[in-house]
Amino acid sequence: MLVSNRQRAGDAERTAGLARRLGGEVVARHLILVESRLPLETRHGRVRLADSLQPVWPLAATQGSISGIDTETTGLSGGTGTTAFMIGIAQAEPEHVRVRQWLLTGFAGEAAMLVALAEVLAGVDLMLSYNGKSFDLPLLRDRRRLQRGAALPEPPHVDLLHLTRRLFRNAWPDCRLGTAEQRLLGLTREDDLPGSEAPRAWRDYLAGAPADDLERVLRHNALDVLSLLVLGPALARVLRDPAAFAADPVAAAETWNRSGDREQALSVLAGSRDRLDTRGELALAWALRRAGRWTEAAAIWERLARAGCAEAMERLAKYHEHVRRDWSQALVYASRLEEGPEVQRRRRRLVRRLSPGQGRLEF
Amino acid sequence: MQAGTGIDDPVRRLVRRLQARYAGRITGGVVLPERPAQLLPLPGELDPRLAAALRARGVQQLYSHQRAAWDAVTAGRHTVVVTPTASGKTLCYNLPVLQAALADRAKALYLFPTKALSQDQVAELIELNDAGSLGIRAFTFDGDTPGDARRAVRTKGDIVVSNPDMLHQGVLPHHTKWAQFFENLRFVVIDEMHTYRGVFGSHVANVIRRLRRVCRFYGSDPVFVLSSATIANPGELAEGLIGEPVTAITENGAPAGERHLLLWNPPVVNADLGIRASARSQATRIARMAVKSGLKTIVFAQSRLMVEVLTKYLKDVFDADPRRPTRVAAYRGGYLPGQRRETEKALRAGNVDCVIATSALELGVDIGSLDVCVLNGYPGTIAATWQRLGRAGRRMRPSLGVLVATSQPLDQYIIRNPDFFLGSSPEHARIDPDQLLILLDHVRCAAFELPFRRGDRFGKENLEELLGYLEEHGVLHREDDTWHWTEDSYPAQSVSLRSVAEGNFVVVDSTGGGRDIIAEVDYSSAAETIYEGAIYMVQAQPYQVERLDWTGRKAFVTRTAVDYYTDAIDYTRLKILDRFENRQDGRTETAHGEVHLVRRIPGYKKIRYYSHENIGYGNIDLPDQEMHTTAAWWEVAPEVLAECFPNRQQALDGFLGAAYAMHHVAALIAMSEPQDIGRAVGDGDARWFATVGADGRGQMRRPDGGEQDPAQETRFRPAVFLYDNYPGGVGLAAPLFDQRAQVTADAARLIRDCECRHGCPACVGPILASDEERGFSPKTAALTVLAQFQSNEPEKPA
Repeated sequence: MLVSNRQRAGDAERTAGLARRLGGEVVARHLILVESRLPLETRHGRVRLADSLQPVWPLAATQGSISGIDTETTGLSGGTGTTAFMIGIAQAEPEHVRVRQWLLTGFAGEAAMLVALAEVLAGVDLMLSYNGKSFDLPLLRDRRRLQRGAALPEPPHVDLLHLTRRLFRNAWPDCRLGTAEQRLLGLTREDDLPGSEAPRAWRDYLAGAPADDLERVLRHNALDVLSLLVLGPALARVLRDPAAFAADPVAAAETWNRSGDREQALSVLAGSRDRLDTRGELALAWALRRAGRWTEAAAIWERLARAGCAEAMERLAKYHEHVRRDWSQALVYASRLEEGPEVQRRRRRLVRRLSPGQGRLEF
Repeated sequence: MQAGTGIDDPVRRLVRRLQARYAGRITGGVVLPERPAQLLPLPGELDPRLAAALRARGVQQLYSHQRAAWDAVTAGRHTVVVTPTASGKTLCYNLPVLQAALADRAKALYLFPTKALSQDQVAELIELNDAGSLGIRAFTFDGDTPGDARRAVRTKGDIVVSNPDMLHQGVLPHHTKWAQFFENLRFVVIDEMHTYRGVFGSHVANVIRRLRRVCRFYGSDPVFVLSSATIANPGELAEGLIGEPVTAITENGAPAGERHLLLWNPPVVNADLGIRASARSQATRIARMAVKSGLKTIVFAQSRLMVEVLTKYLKDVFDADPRRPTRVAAYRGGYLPGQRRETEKALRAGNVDCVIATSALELGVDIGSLDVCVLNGYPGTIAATWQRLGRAGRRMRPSLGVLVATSQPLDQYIIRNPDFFLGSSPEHARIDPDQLLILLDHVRCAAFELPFRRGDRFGKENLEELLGYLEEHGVLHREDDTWHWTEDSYPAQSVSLRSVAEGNFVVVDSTGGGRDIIAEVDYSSAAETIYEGAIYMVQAQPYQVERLDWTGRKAFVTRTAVDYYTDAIDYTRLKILDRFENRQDGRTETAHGEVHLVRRIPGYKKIRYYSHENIGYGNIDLPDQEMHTTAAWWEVAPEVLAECFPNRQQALDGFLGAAYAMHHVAALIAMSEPQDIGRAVGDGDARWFATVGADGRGQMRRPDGGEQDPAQETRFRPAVFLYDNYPGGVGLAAPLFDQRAQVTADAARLIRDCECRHGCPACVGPILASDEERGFSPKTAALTVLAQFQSNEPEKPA
């Protein structure tokens, strides 16, 4: 017991030393909180942190408190044995951006860290993350369960990785956070410890190594969460004008559609008219059709149908059958479609309608 | 008149014909009379909905063993039910599980050794569920479960059907996602328990330790219900697997038709050499007669290769006309799942008249009932023999099983001593969950799942020592009294329950530029089956291996038409690393301990169909396979050998003959499968090893494989090694050392009692005619060596 007490005292001293070095405070055994408030005019690449107050619509509809969250973990494979040893949260506030980072110096601090996280999440109106939906949050929930804690609050959460992938899959070599920072924020990190090095840095610290690398992990994590805060509004700008960012207009239009703003979806597609591929043209025609602009939609379909596009032919078959009630024209398109039960039904129906003495009365 | 009970029953007619025509080949037999059902009423406390579902499916009463299982399980006792094929074992666990699910949404986990069995089981549960509109949800959870369905399985499943591998790699390491399931877990069902023996069983016992540990975390303590085919120690195995006392129900109340069993020895074709006709010729003949009598027939072969050979022979007879639907099918491990499901379906529908299978069909795969079962060779254990024979036999109708002996010593021993087989109880199934390598693997997995605290227990070894070892290696971090996982890895990924091997090989058909995967080969048998030049067969269609990509785990094959198959040559040498225990008298030494083993497959033989003559050799260029394992060995001092033998060549032949007999006897004594034990003859320092050459004589070879004149060897101290054929050993060597007197005495008896003159495949292994001209008898040489082994330790009176 004596040895254990002496050991505990030594560990506590080491944690306190690290806290002093990082400018943080020990808030529980084996748990350091590093907190800072950054002025809104602070530069972050070619943007300023004030950008974090810009609207994120249509990513999410919120007027409230927006936070960026990111964790550093002991591994990337997932499973209950993977621990988050650092949680960083950046919060946009009217006068500054508040960054809080919790760092474990031992497993005993984990429960307190997750309690603190639960308290923060309870006050968050929108959470932004990069792959947090599939990785960080499930992992934190699992660890909370291991601590037998109550389930973590689940504020609205937008995973910016998913949106970035949809918008830039074809335009960028990869969609890592660093790439998004370079391309959208003009931020290039210098002397950054790669995220993949984080597990080793913490393990080495636990084994008694100096905290130099851990300090770099802390800086890396702080940059991550700051980027998330300004990346939300930056992506919102991309969505308003995808052509200006070489982003996929169809993906942008889909996001607008999901937000309920069909007009903006149509305008985004129309604005990228000269860059649309077949998929884009079909999306544009569909947006036009939904706006009631049938003739413009039909014109696009006809052009695509001439090029052999099956979906356009199907649209035209439906258009001529149900809108124009021009069954012979509908049949022309229907007969060019690939065989299938639905196509057969459609053709039979059209043939029946075209045969004299039958037709509309049938229904 | 009821079918099957009459004198004109086709099975009885076949038995009479076989007995009349081949009396000389039938060395024994038995008729097990028809057995009526033992019935008991449905339990009074059974949920009325469940009772109604049973009645709707025609179940008015329970068999006595089903009722006994109900009583034990509902009383909260861990229970194992021993039942043969088709005796309604599933109701033994389905009833209590469904009852609890209906009463308070209690959950159950079903574990089956294979995915195929899981799917059958869910289908059956759904039928019962539908019959009673019970509203119970049963889902399979295995590697095929799509990602988006997994959440529903975890949260909505009343019964989750899976396998130990999935539990090990996919469920336990993510147990927090299954929290709700584990909190309400009331029953764990382990079907086909007898398959969890040896290495696999030792792994599974540890997975169950982990499962129970996770359950304790969530405050549940499920009752285990196990089912098993007949083995000698069902209660003991069940207790070993779950680590708790278990009630064993061994009385079977299901009815069975009359069963005939014949023991069949192929006729001697060369009396001088003691050479008998091959078992395959006899098995083919019996299967042919059975199929021609309109009887559904299954033939079990010992190896995948033999399945293909027999399939070809029977297809030559019954499927010669390609325009007709096929009547003969092969079924073995290594076929792709879809292909196996197809065959199972065809069997159930009665569209196949004859199936040739390996032990892959011994499991409870539902293929309906068959009339005749032919075993091409003794399966190695009494338990496996009865399991396979159980494939034939429909309710209330006679069935026939024929055990055809090969010329292997074990087969000949069994066939010539029918009472041994008919009178013995089946073997024990053994596991050693505390084998250090296996235990350590699972301590790592368990530490990943939940931190260990001082005072925790996991297995019988000193847990704190193991945790300390993992801590030293940076895998765990100890803080206060708790060991936390810190490594950046997912340990279950690197632990395979089935073997230590790193990944299966796929066989890719590249005929005509294609890239179709046609089969899988497990790592351990890749070197001897898919070397370049090998003929690899699928449904008796030969493919030639063109290229083996060892690191990419792929074999590229093309369709071919040849009249031969290939058989690999195996060179194994050992080096003694450590003696755990030994007995010596200056002349001989018997010991057991740790050895280092190097196995090389230097080449292969081409063997022509039907004549089985050797028509050529090919070289194989593959990396040596190495492992550490445990072995028992017998050595004789050089000067003693010089006294007993006129020259070293004869001594070498004597050692090889003795090793051959000892290996087979040892498998019997250790109650294991013969392939679980390996044998080798050579120097204990790996200076040289001995093989049987193409001329049937012993050859001394240097570690590089080159042949050497025994007279030139400076250190001639040969040893017979019987080793545990699993890295690290699973505890087969120590019992062989303990029973060393019996090993040598039984081997000597096997050789002495053999009817051959100088030695034959049934005692010391194949010998050639020229042996008579050598001026010595390999049989005598082997007995001389065995006499030396025995001199060390006089046989204890029986």
